[in-house]
Amino acid sequence: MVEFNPIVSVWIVVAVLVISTSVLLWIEWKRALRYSALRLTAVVLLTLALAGLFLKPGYYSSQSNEIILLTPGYQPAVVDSLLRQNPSAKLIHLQQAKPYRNSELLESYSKFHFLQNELCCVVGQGLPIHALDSIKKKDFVFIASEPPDGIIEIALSQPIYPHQDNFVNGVFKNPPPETWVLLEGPGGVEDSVFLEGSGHRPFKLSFKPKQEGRFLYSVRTKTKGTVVYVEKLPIYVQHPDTLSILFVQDYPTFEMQYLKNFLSKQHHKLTLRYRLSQSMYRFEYANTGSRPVNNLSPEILDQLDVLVIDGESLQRLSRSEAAAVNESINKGLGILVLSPTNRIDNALFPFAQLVVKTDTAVITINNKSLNLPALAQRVKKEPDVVSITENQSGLLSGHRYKGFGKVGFQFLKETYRLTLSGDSIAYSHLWMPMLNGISRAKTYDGKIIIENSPPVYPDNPVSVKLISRDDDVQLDVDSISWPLQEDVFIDNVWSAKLWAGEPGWHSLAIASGNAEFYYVSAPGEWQSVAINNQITANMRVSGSGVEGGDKQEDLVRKEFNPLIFFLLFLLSAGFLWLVPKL
Amino acid sequence: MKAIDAPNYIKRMRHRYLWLRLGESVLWAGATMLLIFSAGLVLSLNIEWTIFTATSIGMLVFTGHCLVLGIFSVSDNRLTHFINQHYPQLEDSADLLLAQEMDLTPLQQLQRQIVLARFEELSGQIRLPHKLIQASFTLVMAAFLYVGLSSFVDRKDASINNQTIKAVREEQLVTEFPASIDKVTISIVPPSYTNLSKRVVTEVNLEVVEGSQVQWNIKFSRNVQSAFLLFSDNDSIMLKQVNNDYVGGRYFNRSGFYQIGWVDTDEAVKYSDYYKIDVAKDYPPVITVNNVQQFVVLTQNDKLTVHVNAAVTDDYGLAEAHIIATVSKGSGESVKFREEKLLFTVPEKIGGKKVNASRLVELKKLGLEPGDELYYYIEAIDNRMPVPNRSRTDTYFVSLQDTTTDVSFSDSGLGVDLMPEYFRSQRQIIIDSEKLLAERKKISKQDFNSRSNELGYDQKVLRLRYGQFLGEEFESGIGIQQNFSAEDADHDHDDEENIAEKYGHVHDKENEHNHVQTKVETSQPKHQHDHNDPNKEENPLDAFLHAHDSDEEATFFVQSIKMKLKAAITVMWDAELHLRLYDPEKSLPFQYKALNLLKEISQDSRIYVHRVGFDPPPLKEEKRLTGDLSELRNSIHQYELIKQASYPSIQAALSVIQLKIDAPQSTLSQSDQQVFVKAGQELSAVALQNPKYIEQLSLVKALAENELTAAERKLILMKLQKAFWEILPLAPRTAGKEASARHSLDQQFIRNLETLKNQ
Repeated sequence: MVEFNPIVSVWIVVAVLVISTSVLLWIEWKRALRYSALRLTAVVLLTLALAGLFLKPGYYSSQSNEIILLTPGYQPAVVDSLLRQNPSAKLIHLQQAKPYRNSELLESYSKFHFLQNELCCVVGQGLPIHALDSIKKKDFVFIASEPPDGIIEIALSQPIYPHQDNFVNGVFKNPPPETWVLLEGPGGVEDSVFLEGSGHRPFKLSFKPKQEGRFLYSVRTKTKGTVVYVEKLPIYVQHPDTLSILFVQDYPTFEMQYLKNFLSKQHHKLTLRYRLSQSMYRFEYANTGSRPVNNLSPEILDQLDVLVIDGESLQRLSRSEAAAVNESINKGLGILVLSPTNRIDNALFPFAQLVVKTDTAVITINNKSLNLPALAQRVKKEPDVVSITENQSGLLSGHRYKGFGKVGFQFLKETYRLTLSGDSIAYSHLWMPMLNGISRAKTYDGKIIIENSPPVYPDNPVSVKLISRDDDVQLDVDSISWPLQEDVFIDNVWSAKLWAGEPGWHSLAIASGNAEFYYVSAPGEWQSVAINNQITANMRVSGSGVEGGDKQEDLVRKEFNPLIFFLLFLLSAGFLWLVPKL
Repeated sequence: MKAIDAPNYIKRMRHRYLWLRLGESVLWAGATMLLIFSAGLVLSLNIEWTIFTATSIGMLVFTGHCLVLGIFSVSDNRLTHFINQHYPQLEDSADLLLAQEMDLTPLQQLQRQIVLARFEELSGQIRLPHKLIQASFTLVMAAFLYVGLSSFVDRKDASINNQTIKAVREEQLVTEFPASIDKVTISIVPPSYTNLSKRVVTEVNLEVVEGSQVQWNIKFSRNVQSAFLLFSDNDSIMLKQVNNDYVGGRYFNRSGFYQIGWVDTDEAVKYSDYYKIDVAKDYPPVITVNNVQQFVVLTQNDKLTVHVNAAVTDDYGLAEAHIIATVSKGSGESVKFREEKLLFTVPEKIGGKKVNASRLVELKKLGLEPGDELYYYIEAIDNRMPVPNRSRTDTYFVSLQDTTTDVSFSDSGLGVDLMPEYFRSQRQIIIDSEKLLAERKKISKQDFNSRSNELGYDQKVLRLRYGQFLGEEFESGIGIQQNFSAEDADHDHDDEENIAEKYGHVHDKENEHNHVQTKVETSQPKHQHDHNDPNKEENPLDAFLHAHDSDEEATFFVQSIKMKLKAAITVMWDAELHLRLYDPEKSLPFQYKALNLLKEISQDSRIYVHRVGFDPPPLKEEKRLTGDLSELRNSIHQYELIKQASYPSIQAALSVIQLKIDAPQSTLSQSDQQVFVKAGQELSAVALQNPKYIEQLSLVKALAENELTAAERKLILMKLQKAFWEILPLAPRTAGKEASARHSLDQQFIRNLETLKNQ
């Protein structure tokens, strides 16, 4: 509807115009000139033009107040398309982003609090993760730009223990020709990989730390022999825990003797039980106090991490012992069955077996092919059976979950030959992953989970989640107590948000002694990984806001352009002036 | 002065003025440059930048000064104008001196005469304007300022230069002495047998020949109380004072490193850096034998000589070289050996560093007969003192083939030769086959076929016998042999026992070394177990027995003999086949081939098998099979292994290094220095084995002294980290636990999962 915004009162203007129009019409009517109809029309138009100029007519129309946020790396073509869809949308750009035509600068992320209702679209690499927190209403559309070329993902296999193969997995986007990625440790280059082709190229680098502690490795990218990037890779090598292991056998074997010697040198707590007669045993205790294990009672089993037992002994367990073992496995005990027989209760050895003709097995350890005696049976590959050692004939060792515990098997025999030949590294690769895999999990009173993906930069927020057994829990950040907030819905789940300090290592600890370390990278390190993380985080949260918030629309008054009226006035007046001369 | 000279005089004056002003400009420019240099010193500007600025401004000053004074536009007229202004006696007429006399009016000429006379009087007194003294004074002052400032201001670039020089020095391995060691002179006297001359060096990192005597002569920059040398083998030498020098020395046979130590006058003990001593070993002679095969088989018809030609070299000189020849005669137990030392014929005397020696060995002269073997090798000895180095070649074999029948015997004593009766059997089959062929026309076809078949059977039995040695077990063969021919009839029961058990050295037998208590032994006597135990397969002790149940393991022959034996058995198959087909003619070549192979085996295997007796402990008959277990108790064995970390101090140092690299500005505390001192002790042990770590020892020392800048410290820490990491050995991996915190929801989840799985 047309509304006026008159310079003076409408009525005055109308009155004056009506009078003046009437007079002019009368004059024109009286003049003996040609084109009388046209002249009269021109007078009317002239009057209307004047009315338009004085009354300033206009109308109200509804207009969108949506905001398109431009973040670094946005593509102008995308913005153009968005503006075509929504011409009235307002453009805002971040400080790090290039300004666009008519875009305004967002001076502070805190302004999102006021703009969140209007934010409809985020274009580019997205908002920093901490800025996302300040937006409650995250139902914006995120149109991501491509992450930059380079290493866009990097992750470490956890936990990292010394003297074993640990891995760094990563993804390199569009590696240039002749690109090498090298992992360099304190002692020099540990591993390298040559990348070919374009697109997202995954890579895997292995390293074998020689000591526990916190170290800074570096990942170097070399292209055509020139080092292009060097990034610091923080690595926390943990001290492996000692295990409490019980060996139950009817008689000693070389295999067990060597395994016992190997484990006792690593200071694991070992108890060995051999049967001398029906009720007499020989007990051997290494690195632990003497404690008779005549019966496998729940009390004894609950104190163990692993029970190593041969098939015959397992089969010969009394009903109560078998029940106790079963119960303990469900509670978390790991059991390793050697030379299993077919008559073992399926509850204690839940594996489907295959009979093979060969009594040896060729396996590869550390790129070395080994031929070892083995039982003439294998375990079938099943989805829930975790393989430790396998070859073409089937699984030679592995385990599967049972309750909170695990049941493992080892079909390889006479592995002690490896230690006799001096290859204790290969021997450890046969047995340690198995014991690692099945051992009872270490339980903490509280577990600290750092939710941020590395890299973490100074002054950026770090989200920490804590699962605790106790209600009374305290988190120390670099030895300073930090407030925690308990989850509203789930008991004993706490969270905290802290702000990363100076570049370097920082610690999080709880009263029970559990500690975690995180590394704060210097600004500029792992830039492409950070951008990729940011894009992923924005994609994850976009559109996840509270639904139902109606988009409000403003009514905007739009005036007719006065130039139209002025031109009309000129044309009409000009015509009236010209007619007598025609 | 003549009128004609006046213009020239004025011209010379002008030139002098020009030079004066130019000199003045140069002095001003020089002073300005010096002032800019001084300002550069005070402001610690870059030297190149300062030079550039000073030169530019100096040139500007020079040019500007010249332009301002207009010295290049000074003309004679201008000079006369100056003279007129400053010397009124010339009555403003000095310019008349420059004009030509003919151009002047008579009045002007008159005036010129007057002016000329006055100018002549004034000529010595005219002072041309200049500020040379002021400029010189300014320059001198600027020079003073510059010298003064450069003496007091510590320039950064100077320290950078020092660092650069230091780095270059490090690269060039030029040793840098501590301040109080003035000069080190080292005389090295190599052992006399090397014929190397004495050397005197000033380089403290030494490379000496094994057994050299090294004498140090050390001069200190000031008096010290005493001086000593510390060596890596925990040895030390107190140096004797001779005049102002300290002198001492020792012999070296092993590589290592040393340190110079001294007690200063203020009782402070100081040590130098670590210096390397590389001892070059005197290596044994190297012998290269030319054109000789390792194994040579000769027949009686061949030329029975062997030409031995060897090139012998040594690093310092040879003393002797000869051939050691051993003649082996006989077979089985009757084998005899005779060893002879043969000198080379060319050259007659061995000496020098390289010798090409040769000799023709005549086998007949050595007494080699058919069937005998000659083993020989070349031995060389160098001139090392006191214990010479010896080296020898591999053994070379010459075998003179024997084509006649072997005669051997069996002895039931210690030596056992398993072969002879079987050899006779094969020969017997050949004789019988030949006899059968000879009688072919005399006997009926049926009889011929029957005898041929019987011979085939004999051949089969013989093959099975040999098959036993290779682990080929055929029950039929063993059973049948009881019934057959005379040659095997004398086999008693013992011969039918498992040959591997009888002659093999079977370890891990039950209670072989009486480790198990008697009671246990009596409860499970061996013979019972072997014969009466129905569950023999479940015998728990099987796991401990080294049972020769594999084809590949069930033989006590070396590989080459085994191959020959296999070949012999294969040939026997063919011989038997043709005998069974009633065709002894075709069979004979195979039989001969088998015989030859068996003879070769007999020659090869001069084996002596020691018969191992087993004396079981006597059984207590009264306790046997009583089932009395009353004295049995649980046996308990408890022990604790202390985990010994390898290089614990180096591991501790690595942790400190990582912390300090992360925080480069933090200094080393007292405890950190202690960690490095201990790590240095472990490192010195490693450096003994591997001298490449001596440089790291010096770095540890520098850290422990803690007199480094932050940048230097970081560099050293990084170098040490690399070296320490290299030193740490790679150990077998160990097992650990996975961490988990079980929330009640997790537990509930797993329980439900198990329930679902079981449904």
